[in-house]
Amino acid sequence: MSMILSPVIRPGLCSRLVCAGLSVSIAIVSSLAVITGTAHAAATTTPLGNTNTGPTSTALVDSTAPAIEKRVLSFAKLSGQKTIPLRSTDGRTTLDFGIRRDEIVTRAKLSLRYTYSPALIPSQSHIKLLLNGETLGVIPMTKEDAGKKLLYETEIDPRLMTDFNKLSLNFIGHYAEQCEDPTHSSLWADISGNSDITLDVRKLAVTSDLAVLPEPFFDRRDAGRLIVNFIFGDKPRRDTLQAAAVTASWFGKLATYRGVRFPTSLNTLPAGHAVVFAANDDRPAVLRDLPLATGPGIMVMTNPTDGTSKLLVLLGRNSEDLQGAAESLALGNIAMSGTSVAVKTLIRPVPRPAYDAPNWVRLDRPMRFAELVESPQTLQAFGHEPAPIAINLRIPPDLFTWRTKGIPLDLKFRYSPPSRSSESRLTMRINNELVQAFNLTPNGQAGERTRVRLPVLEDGLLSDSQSIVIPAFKLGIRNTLQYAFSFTYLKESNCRDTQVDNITAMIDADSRIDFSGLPNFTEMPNLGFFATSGYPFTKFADLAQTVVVLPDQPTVQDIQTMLALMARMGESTGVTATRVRLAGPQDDSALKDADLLIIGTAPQQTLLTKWAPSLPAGVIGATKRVSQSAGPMSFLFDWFGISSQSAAVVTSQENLVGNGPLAMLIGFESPLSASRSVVALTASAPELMANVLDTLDDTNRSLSIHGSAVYIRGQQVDSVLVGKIYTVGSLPFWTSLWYAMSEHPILLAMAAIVAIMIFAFALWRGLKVVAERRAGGGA
Amino acid sequence: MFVGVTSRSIGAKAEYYASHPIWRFPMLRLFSFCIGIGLTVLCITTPFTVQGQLIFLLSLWAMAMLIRRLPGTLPTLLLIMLSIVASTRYVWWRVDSTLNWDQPVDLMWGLGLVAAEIYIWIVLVLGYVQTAWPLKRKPRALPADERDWPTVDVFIPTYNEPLSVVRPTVYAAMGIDWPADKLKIYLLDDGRRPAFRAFAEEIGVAYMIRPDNFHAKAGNLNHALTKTDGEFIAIFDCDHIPTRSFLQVTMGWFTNDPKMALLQTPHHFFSPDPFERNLDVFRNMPNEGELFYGVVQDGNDLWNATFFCGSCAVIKREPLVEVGGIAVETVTEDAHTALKMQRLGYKSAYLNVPLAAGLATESLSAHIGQRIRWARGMAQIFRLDNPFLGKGLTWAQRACYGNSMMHFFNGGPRLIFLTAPLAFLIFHAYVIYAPAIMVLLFVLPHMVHASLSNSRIQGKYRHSFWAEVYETVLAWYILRPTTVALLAPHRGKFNVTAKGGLVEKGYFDWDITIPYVAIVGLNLIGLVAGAMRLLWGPAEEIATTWLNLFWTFYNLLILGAAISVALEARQQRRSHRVQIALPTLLHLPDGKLLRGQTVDFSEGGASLTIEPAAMAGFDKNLPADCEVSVSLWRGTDEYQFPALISASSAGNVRVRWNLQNREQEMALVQCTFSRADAWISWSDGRPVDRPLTGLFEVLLVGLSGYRRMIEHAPVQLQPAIAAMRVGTNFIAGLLPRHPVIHMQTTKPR
Repeated sequence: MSMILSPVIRPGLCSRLVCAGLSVSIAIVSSLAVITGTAHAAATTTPLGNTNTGPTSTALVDSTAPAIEKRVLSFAKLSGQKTIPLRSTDGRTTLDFGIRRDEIVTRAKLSLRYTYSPALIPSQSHIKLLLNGETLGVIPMTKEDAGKKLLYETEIDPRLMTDFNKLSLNFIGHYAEQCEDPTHSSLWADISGNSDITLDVRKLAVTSDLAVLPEPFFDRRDAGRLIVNFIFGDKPRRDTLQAAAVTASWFGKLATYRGVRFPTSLNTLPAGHAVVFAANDDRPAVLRDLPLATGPGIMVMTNPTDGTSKLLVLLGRNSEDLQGAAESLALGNIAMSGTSVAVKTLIRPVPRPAYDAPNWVRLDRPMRFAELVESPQTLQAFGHEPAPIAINLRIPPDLFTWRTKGIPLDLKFRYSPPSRSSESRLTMRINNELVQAFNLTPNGQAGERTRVRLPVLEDGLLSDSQSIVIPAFKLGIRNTLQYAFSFTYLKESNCRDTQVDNITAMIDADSRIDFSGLPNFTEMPNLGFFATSGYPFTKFADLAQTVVVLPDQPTVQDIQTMLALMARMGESTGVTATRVRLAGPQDDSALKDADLLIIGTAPQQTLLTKWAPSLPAGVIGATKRVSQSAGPMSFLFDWFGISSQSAAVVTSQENLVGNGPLAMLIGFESPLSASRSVVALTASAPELMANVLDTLDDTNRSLSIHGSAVYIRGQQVDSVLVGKIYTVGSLPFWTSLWYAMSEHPILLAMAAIVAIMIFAFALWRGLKVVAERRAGGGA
Repeated sequence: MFVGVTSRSIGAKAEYYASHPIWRFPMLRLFSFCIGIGLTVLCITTPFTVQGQLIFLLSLWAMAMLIRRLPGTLPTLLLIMLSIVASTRYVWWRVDSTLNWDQPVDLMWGLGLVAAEIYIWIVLVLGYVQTAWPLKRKPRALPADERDWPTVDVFIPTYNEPLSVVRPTVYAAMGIDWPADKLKIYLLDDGRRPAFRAFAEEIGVAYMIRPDNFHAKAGNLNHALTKTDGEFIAIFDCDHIPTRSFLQVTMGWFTNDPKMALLQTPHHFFSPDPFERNLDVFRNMPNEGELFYGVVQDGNDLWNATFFCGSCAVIKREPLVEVGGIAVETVTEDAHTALKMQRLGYKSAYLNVPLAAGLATESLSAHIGQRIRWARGMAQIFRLDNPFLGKGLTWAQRACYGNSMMHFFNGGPRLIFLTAPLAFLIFHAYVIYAPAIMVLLFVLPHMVHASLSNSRIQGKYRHSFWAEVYETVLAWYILRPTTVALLAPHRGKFNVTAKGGLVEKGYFDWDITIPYVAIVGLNLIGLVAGAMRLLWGPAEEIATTWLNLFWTFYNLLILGAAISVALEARQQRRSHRVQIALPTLLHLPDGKLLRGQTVDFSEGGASLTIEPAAMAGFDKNLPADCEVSVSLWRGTDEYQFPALISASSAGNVRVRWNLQNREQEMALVQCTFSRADAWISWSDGRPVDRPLTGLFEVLLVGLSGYRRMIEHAPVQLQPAIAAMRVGTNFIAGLLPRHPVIHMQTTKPR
């Protein structure tokens, strides 16, 4: 459970070393208390005295400023809407954008494209622009320009920009001098999504400090995809890559929705932030001068290639030390500061039980809504028609919901009482589909509670393997519960309608949703599960049951793909994959009793070649093998219970030879151990594997992923379910019987006949004897 | 023909397999039972989708339709097992997946209905135990030597019945074939009327009174028990006329089996009960009591669980005294007495041969009064001496006695079924929390299989769906007494069933129907609410609404049939005409003898047809009040009875008896009501039961109930009804006319 690492870098050597203008020394701190018995990790890291402490905040270090980058933030992207509507006499909207801490804005320009209603009174109507509370400008509304497409441009003082910026558009509209209806339909102005903010951004050199980790490598102000270079030695060993996998999943967990890519370099050091894996015996040439480590350690230094970006260096005597450093980085960076730390003692977290990913709903007890949101504030809403309160639910894909009446949800909510009970509602939706609506009444202000059941799929499996991946109506794997309050405006009569927007409503954080008691059981293969949640690997959030199989000589693309997939796992679970293992294709003992994630192109990835005959599909160089599934069997045939796997029988296979690009995801049962899953990511050429990653990241295209084989050609995604179907998980005895028999009514009717014959025959024999005895000797 | 042969051979083959020697291996039997139990549990509990359930139910239904064609008892047992599986599956489904535990109000309604359905299920299954194998016991021979025959006391208890009712019974009892020195007849008069004493003395039967009237009939019999000493006691209600062969047919079972304590024979009625009279179905189909005497008691007999019904039975004195005489703790002393004797290990028997006949209750209110007494008494026994508890009984006896008592608790469940759809239609409560189509797919097999097997078991004795009518009529009235009897078993009094009265004028018994009219009113409100739901309700509830509306319609028709019974038809004749053909010889004043037979006869007169061969000597215009005499036969003995012609036509003569003395009165009873074969062929020529026909008949009667109710509505309402009729006729007149004959809403014939 606990792993004691010996001291890392020899102090003597270290003190003599100057690296990128920073001197580093590492002291050894005696081992800390070992915490045992906790489910989660306690990593101890040691901050070291920094001999050259710079300013902790952003500071200009280098006068040779790097090139200025132009960046355009479109309103459509910031708001998620094509047009931003501004309504009523006091319409407001706010757009949020962040500026990375290692960047500075040198110039900013706002281009606003808009149209407004001809009914507006010019002297009173205008749009006020505010950035972080400071007025940027006022857009007048003239009679002449009404109804036209207009462009308003203004320079923004870069000094107004902070880390998190709020651009507010405040529409003040009036159409009548008196007796004005504040919600009159002629009160409108539309802001086009093509409006944008153009920023000139310059990179800043920041001080090297572990305390700000994960910055600058990951900055949450940056809403774009996270890109971190991973640097390895010439021929990275598998164990080194395993440490990289852990680190990648840590980045994935941090990046959440942003998506992550890890451009990988062997032995070279490109510009930009990077993570370097440097075991004493397996380090990239650029860090050859670094003193040898005496144990696992983490340090941060300036990237010598560009002089501004940073390198996060994981150090160690060997790959095993790197693993320790990676785990320590993932688990315990709270205590780190300075430029480097040595990991003295690492208490490895106990293996996590199944289905305990913090991002997933709990299956062992009901969950309070407070656990599902970041802060209780998000459960509140203000105004007459506030934006829906959204609660995200990630549900283990293998939840067996067959014959449950839905997921019980005890909903409690409170609201300012509407003065009349008319048309004021709380609408509850799941994935944008209506579940139930509640009327809000004047006497309900004390709070209401009700029990709702979230509908689940009829067939009991969270995702239909045949047609859709995320069911339109029913509960899927990634779900958003929405609670939309809407209050009507009270219209007394003309001129008596001053509206005060003082309405508050909230969903009680004590509302509960209960997924407990449902068994885990599903039919596989289903690549849809893999695409949406990383299942089956993420069943154990630390990937303890996962073995990633890379070719013996992995290419840069293989490594990149593997790292990106690990990041997806971290994103799915919210946990660093500290127990993931890497293995080679020949490593039979390691491949047993594990779920396998195979990455690489055949024939380099020898497992794919070796198992090719049992695979539903495959691509070996230019040779592609595709399988078509049989059409649905005659329903009578299936009802008789003779075949339960009709849909997945492979009827045709063809081998094609061509030079066209094809990437592929294949899911099948492990030939080495039953009920274990294999997902293989392969392509006709190594660089095409990125295509699969892009498809997985694309919310629309990833919906097309399901079944056991996914063919990706450019933008085109095709999925089929072919090959053997197997089940994962277990059901209670009776449920498994019922589930098996529920498909076969005729078989069961025959069973009924047999049973009644057994009993009727026995009764007949018995009653005949009784009757003869009772009426015996009769005339 | 071909089908008949095949089905017979299949039936024989099934019996061959059922009794195959292979079943002698105990291990095989055990193994097959384990398999059977496993499969049954699976069949009951496995959930299906809509189409799966449809396939399953169709398969079972097809199987039942095949089995139905096979003759014999084995197919009956197969049908019973099928029905139990289908019904248990339904109950399992109702409990497992149709209760909405999230909504307390729905849950309350739902639990009520489920409880009623579980009750129905228990009664159904126990009913199968009772009726699976009617024993059809045959009479047994008496010892050859008459000196070995035991002594018998005949008890005829009476309280307030007129002498005219009691007289034939006493005459018939005197005519019973039994050694005269071993037969004593006792007229037990709790009314202490001098006329009765005089009559008894005149014809020479013992007359007995007692100082008090404690415990009514039971007390009366117990008092007589202390004053008499016959080895056996035959008990006849004062209106049950025994046939002459009564003792010779029944006593054989006692002389052959010393543990035999009771032998019961059916109660046969030669007058129509209120249902038969008011619905005009007398002798066209089995009456209410026939199910009990035809199947239930005969089925009980298999399990040694036949019980005493108060009359037409022989009881051995010794065990009766051992249990302390006739039971007095409950108002159904008869069943309770039998239960007590059986707890001591004595046997009972049932002989399904009508050996006595009597008058049915003459009005619906009297009929209901009688049933209230039975229901209360059975509930009292259930509470005080529960057959499921206590010692001395086999499990089958417990089931039979228990079910006979639980059957009377159907008032509450019946009322729940009559009102359950209203919970949805009016209050929008999801009583059955399931899609309408699933409800249909589960409830249909439950009902169809129960109907198929019951029709096969009971068809001769009760036509399908008539139980619904009988039970509905009684539901409201037995609910309170049974509930009270369960809670406070010692309250309530004995009420004597009035018999032999007249219904002077046809009338509508509004008092009786008020509860049902009220329920009809509720159901009508439900119909309106349902129609509004169809028009303005949410679309996804339309199927559910239709289902509930359909159910309400059915309830309304059953209620209509129940109400229909409340229109009391006229019953003018003082003595009931019994339609049985007996050979006669008509002696005309001119000495001519005309051979013929009776069309019907009564205590007052007879209607005769003259044989065509004798027509030559027949003078059509016999003067009224012309003195003639009619010969009837008792066995080989001819008796001549003086009579007066009351009417005559071609081949038909109606005569009025002009009896001169007691001997002639006695002889007339013995030649007619008391003949050995009097009631044997009573039910010949009836149409056989077909479940769907039964349903159709009941529904038609239901429709006619509403017509009758409107016709007899209070005078104040008549103008409104007339206006309504004009309106509906006008609207009906606008409808396109079909050349085909419209469905008639007349009474079924």
